[in-house]
Parts: sequence; C-alpha cells; structure tokens
Amino acid sequence: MSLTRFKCACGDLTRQSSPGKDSGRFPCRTLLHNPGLSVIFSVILFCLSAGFFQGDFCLAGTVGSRELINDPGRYDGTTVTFRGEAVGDIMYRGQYGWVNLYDGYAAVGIWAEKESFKDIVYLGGYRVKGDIIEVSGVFNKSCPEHGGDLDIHAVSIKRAVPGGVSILPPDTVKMPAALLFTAVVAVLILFLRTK
Amino acid sequence: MILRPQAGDIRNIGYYLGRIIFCVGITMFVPAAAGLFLFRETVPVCDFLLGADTAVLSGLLLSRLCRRHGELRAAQAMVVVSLSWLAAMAFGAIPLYLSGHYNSFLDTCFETMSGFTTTGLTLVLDLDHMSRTHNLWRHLGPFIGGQGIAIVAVSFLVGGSSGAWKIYLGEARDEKLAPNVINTARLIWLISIVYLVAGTAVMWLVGVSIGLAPDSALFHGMCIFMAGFDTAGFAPQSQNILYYHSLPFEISTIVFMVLGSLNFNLHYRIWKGSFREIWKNLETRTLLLSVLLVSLLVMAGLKHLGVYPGAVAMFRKGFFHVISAHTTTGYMTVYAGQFIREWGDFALAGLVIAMGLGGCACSTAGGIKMLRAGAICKAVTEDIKKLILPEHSVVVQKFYHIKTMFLDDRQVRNILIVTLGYLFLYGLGTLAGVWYGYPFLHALFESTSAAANVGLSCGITDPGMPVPLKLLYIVEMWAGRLELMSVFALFGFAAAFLKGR
Repeated sequence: MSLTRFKCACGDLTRQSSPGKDSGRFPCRTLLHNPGLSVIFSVILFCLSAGFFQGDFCLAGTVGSRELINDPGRYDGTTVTFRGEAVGDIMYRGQYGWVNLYDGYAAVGIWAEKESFKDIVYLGGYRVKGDIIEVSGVFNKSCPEHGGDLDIHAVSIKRAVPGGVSILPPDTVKMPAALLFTAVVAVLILFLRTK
Repeated sequence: MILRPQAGDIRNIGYYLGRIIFCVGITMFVPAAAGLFLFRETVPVCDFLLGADTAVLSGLLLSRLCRRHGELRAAQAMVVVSLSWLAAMAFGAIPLYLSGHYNSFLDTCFETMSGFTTTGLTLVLDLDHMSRTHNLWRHLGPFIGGQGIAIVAVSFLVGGSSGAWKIYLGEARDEKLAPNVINTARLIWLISIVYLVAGTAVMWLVGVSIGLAPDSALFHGMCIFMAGFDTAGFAPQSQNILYYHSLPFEISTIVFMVLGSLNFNLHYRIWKGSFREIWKNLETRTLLLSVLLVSLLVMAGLKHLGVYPGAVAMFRKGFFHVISAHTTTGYMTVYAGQFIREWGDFALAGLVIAMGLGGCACSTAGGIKMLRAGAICKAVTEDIKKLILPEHSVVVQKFYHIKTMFLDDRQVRNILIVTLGYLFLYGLGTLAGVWYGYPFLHALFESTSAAANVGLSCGITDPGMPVPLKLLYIVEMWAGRLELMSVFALFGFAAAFLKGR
C-alpha cells in the first residue's frame, strides 16, 4: 500500500494510507485539528484529569460536611466550596474570626478575615434561621495553625440565601393547658397544706 | 428464706419516692423562670410548666397515698434511690420531649438519663436551634444529678431522719464531710454552688475574650461549667467544645473537668487549708499516674499514624481527650467520625482504659474510680510481697485517703465486687453492640462510655441506633452512676416480691 502525503485544510501535513474518494479533502488525523474528535478528546481528558486531581474536582460543586468528616484525607489541603447555615456566634479574633456553618449533618468551623463576615446578618438559633453562606477556602483535616482542628480557611464568603426570624403564633394548646394545670396544682398544694 | 415485702415497705418506698419526684418537679421551675424572665421564650416555658406540674402533682399524690411507715430501712433506701433515678428520668424528659427536638419519648428519656447521670451521650436533633430554656435544663440535669438526685431531697425535704444517711449511701456516696449527713449534703451543695459562681465568671471572661457576645458568653459559660464540673460533657452547640476553636477555652474546661473529678472530701480539706492532701492522697496519686500513662499510650497511637501535623496539635487534641475520658466528662474537640477513621485502634484503646478507670470516689465522675484502682494495685503489691518475703513475716498494706487506712481482705473483696460489676456492664454493652453489627472496639468504646458515665462517642450513639441498644445504654448509665448496688437491691426487692413468703 502506498503512503501518500496530503495537506490538511489547516496547513499541516498528514498521512493517509488509503485515500478516500475525495482525495482533495482528507480528514486531519491530528485530533486538535478535527472539531468532532477534539470535543470527544476534551471530554475524555477532562474526565481523566478530574479523576486524577480529585481534590480540584470539588471546585465544580459544593462538598458536604459528611464527606469532609468521613473522608477528610481526600480534601485535605485543597480548595473546597462549602455551603451551610451560619449558626451561633461570630467570634472575632483580631483581624480574623470564626463562624460555624451547619449543613444538616454537622457544623464546620470557618476561619476568615473579619471583613468577610460583614454580609452575615442572621445567625441560626432558637426561632432564627441563619443566613445560608457559601464559602470557598482551603480545607484542613487537622489545621496546623489551629491546634489540629478540622476547619476551612476561607478565601471568599458570600451569602447565598438570607435567613430570618420566624414569628410563631401563640401556641393555643400548650399555653392555656400549662396555665390551667399550674393553677390546679397550686390550688391543690394550698388545699393539702391547710388540711 | 426470702421474705416478701410488706405493705409497710411499699408505703415507705412510695412516700420517699413521692417526695423526690416532687423535688424534681420543683427544680423544673428554675429553667421556667429563666425562660420567662431572662430568655423571653414563652413556648418553652409552657413545656416546663407542664413538666413541672406533672411531676409535682404525681409526687404529691404518691407521698400522700403512701404515708411514712416507720424508719426507712437500708434495703428500702436502696430501692428508693434506684427508682427515684428512673422517675426523675421519666418526669425530666417531659419538657425536652415537648421541645420537638427528639424523635421519640425514649430518645428524650435517654437524654435525661444521660444528663442526670452526668454521662453526656446525646440523641438531640438540631441542637443549634434549641431554645436556651431547654438547653439550660439539659445542663442543669447534670448539676442536680452530679450531686445526687436523692441528695436534693435529703438536703431539703427529708429533714434529720436516719433515712437520709441510707439514701446518701444508696447514691454511691459513703464519705462524710461533716458528722451529720444533712450537713454533709449541704456542704456538697455549698462547694458546688461556690464553684458554679466562680467557674461561670471565669468561663464568661474567657468567652468574652474569644469573641462571644457578653450575654452569649454568660449562657455558654454557665452551661459549659455545669456540664464540665459535673463531668457530663453536654454543650449548648452541636460541635461541643470544637465550636469555640479556642485554646484558652479548652484549658479552662480541662481545669474544671479535673476539679469535678476530684473527691468532694478532698475539696473540703483543701478549702480548710490542707493542701498537702493533694499529694498524699492515694486517689490523686493514682489519677496522676494513670493520666500520664494513658496520655503516653494515646500520643504513641496518634504519633504512629501521623494523625496531627505537629507535636503541639497532637498534644492539644490527645491530652484534652485523655482528660475528658479519665474525668468521665466526655467533652470533644473532634467529630465522632474522626475517632474511628483517624485516631486508630491503639489511641482508642487508650481512651477506653481511661474511661473505664474513671475519676475519684465521692465526686461526680463515673467509672471504676481511682480509689478502687489504687487499692487493687496495693492489694496486688501486698500479695507479691507475701510471696517474696519469708513465710512467717506479716505484711500490712496501708494507704492514705483523708486519713491513714489499713487495707484488709474485706475491703478488697468489696472493691473487687464493684470492679467486676463495672467490667460486666462494659462487656454486656459491647456484646450488644457487636450483635448489632458494630466493630468490637467501637462497641467497647461506646459501651464503656455509657457505663462509666463518660459521654465520648465514636458515632454509635445516634437517633437512628437500634431501640434495644438505646434501652441497654440507659440501663448502663443508670447502673453505672449508682455503682450497681442500688440496682441489685431493686432486682432483689422485685425477686422477693415474686418469690418471697
């Protein structure tokens, strides 16, 4: 079989061992110069690199506290995106501070610059739904700076969903029942003491 | 021949039990008042009014129906004590159940028993959104239970009857701080309340310095002190002590955990200026030695696996959890899952030893107790000496605990019975855990934590755990707190009722 050199449309030379019918327009075998193959190649390359650099793959989506606690080695030292409700208190320490984000499984400590907390308005507590915060930062399974704590050193913090105070209507069952019961018990005690 | 209990026995037990239930009800008015005037949480206050009213009414009716019938006998006192802890669990669970933070009433009973027995295992859901009123009750439980539920009644309701001393003994206390048991109970309360005020002030200052708002620091400080000094290990937030991310906070809790695990009699002696007691006492010496040895084990385990990046982090995490385990507090600065996945079996085994040995006698700590561990070591030394020395030589073993005491075979026998009882409890819970499919070491860890009233968890304790395991852990916490004797007395009483003549 004769091996013939042909010129690709992009200007590169390629080789075709068995020329097609349209000998003037051969498909280029350099993948990057072929739109169809290059798309397939890109997808394969992306998947392979995602599998190889597992930590970085997390950048594509958020990671939960369940994964961080149960498989910390996988994310240690990598940049992760974590989303959770700000609960309790913001504890300022100089120019930095701590806030704990709860995602339904566990709360994780976030260490960030003081300025980063300015968007947090509501902190979760009794009858208060805290702001849902999305944080990107470096995850530490045992932080050398903070005595081995599992934490995230935030690079960016943003409020994803605002929280708020839930205004409950007065409990129409508990309240009258409690007051009535207390009155009955008080009367009974007085009655028994005087008897 | 076993004698069947008479109506008089039942009436006596019912009378004292009623008084104690009444007292438990009264204590529920404390969080109710705090909720009404401090936290302004009206719905939780209603939960507490309902719980308190139910307990007060039940207690009142029971003590009225069962009028006192002569002096309380030792066996009756033991039954009163064991039943009073079950009753306190059931009535104390009402307000928590009404909070809606628990899956079932059983889970609430688990939580209340865990609190009263100063264990600290928890089944709460969404703790970070719990009201302060309910959270205060979670922490007040250990403060009451740590001194002894029946002691509350002894101090304020029973008066000077001889039944008071028997109830005091039934709650696994046998040391007198004062000649009169009522004064002893009141001294224990005085010591605890003085420490509460001082400890809350210290924790408040630390809390403010680490960035908590003053009111939040006061609430957290009081809760953490109550659960730390009473070796319970509850905390107001789901992350436990990890929530604070602070070394000063951890150091403060270590100090209070250690103080809480020391003998009340030792505290009293130190108060009276006898500082040498700390170094002379067999218990404190044994505790110190044991903490050092277990710390070495845990550090070796952590170092071997390279769990922490440096010596400082390893020491901070390792030592904190050794103290938490040894004082039977159960405070944590790691997640339960990290124990299993990162710490490794060797470090976990070290913590199991620390939990099993426990703190000092006549304190709020659980476990076998340092006095017993020290006495067993002394007894073993005595036997080895007997083997080495000539046959006709007399070996006398003595030790110092408040005063110089001689160790005789009868004492060693009593100590070994209780020690074996604890080992049986640890083993029973382990078998049950393994039955339900948990690995052996994890089942042993959790069972020891429950029976020794510690509260450290490697993740087995969870709202989704099997119901029989929840029931067994409740029994372990209850029997462990009462050092088994009162529980044996209750079973004996039930057997006599069925089989006696």
